[in-house]
Amino acid sequence: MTLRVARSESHFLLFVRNVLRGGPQDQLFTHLAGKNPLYPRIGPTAMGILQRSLARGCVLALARHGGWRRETRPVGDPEHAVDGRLWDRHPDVHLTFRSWSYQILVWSWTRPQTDAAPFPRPPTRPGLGDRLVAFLVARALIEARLPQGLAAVAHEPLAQLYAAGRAPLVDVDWPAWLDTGGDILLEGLGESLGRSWAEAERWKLGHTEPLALAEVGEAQQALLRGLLQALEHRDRLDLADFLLHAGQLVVADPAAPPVLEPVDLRASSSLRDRMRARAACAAFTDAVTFLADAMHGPRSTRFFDDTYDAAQARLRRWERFGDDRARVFRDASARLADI
Amino acid sequence: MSRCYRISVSESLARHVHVDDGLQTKLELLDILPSERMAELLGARLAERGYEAKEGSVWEKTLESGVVVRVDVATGTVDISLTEEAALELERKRSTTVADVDPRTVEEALRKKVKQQLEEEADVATEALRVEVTRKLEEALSGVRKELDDAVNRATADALKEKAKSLGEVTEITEDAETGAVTIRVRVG
Repeated sequence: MTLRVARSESHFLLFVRNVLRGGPQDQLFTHLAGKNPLYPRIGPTAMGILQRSLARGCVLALARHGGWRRETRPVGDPEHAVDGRLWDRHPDVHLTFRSWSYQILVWSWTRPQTDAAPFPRPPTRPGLGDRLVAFLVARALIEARLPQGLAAVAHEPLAQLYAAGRAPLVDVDWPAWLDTGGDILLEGLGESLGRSWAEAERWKLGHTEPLALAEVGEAQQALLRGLLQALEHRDRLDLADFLLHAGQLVVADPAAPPVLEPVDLRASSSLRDRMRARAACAAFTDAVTFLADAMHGPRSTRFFDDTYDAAQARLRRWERFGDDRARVFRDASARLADI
Repeated sequence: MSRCYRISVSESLARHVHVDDGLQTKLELLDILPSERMAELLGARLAERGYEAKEGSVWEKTLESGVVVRVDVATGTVDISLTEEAALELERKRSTTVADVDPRTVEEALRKKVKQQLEEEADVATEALRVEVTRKLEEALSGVRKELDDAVNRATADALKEKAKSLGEVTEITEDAETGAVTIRVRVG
């Protein structure tokens, strides 16, 4: 069956597909940096294609970004652990798309993302699908090397997390976000978040300008402090596993670790600026050290405790990270705090 | 026939600049005794090293280079800073020859340019002073760090001895001057 849409609509739908799939970087750049025409409303045929693209594309994206992993995680409460892939563990959860998804995509398409202007604020309760779309747009902006556009998605906490300190910081109500499906997205997107944080960490370690480094590091500190506090309060520190995944990418071999501190800071900069940069650089190593210290909980869970299964699953995931690797990060934190 | 003008301007800039640099760190003091007593012991060891008690729980020392070290023995916070001042006096003259234009306009533009160059030179001189301040601070750091580590180790050893006395009869105290290790034998009960 052939469906007919207007030329501008077909270009828009191709852009949406690239965002959902993570299309070629040069194409994403061309789409996002330009001001592309689109009628104020797309026709019913194009809207039908858009809806089907979002439904299928977002499910695929969730699977590809980490949801495919078979894991044991608490569902509902810490004592109820379920084994399976993301959709096995949460069979009753639906990806809901409200008008916000459409607004984000049209806004990203029709406005050049070289300007740092935020797009419309999300509704009080965006659907899970909306949140995923905001995340995928943020990912596209970073892949296309258009960080100025990150201001547009800064309202969505998941986009903030993906940006790993490189987006303008917005106050996040982490408990409310976790309560409205954010926990499911953290489970499903862990791999992708981990890769992004690893890339941000490599950027920090190679950067020479102290104030730029301090800005990103301090944003990371604020972001992680809020998130980890909220997760600890809900007894769901397992949702921060993306940081451990990032740690595995940054320190591939604990026996031969890279230097986890910025060594080439501009020598002519003030000591104050360099120390500020070093302290801010510890945002990631401190967070990993915090998660390492929190493992005493699962280790001391007895076989007759209700949370035993979830604790064992967390210990198995920890084993992939390892105490040796944790020691590397702990030592780095101590050195970064030292003068 | 065109008219030529020779325009000369002279501008000067006098400024008092004040630059500083510094950093903050924290001392790790074990809670062997109550925190107030640990602070007193640390204060005593700092006094031996030339520190003077200032307001509250702060002890301060100024090195020959002008570096100031402030230690808050209650919190363990250490501030190390250096401030320097300089009087800048800069002067610059520029001339140019113009024809067939209003000389006043050219003079105004030339004067503006010279003032801008003086500002840039002042910024360069200020930054050079700041770089020098940073260099002196970095030079002083390792010595300050060693001195503070030493004071903390001595205060810790003093605290251990005091604690040991409260546990029983101290029969032997051995101190290794090289490593700083302290061995205390206590007869309990």
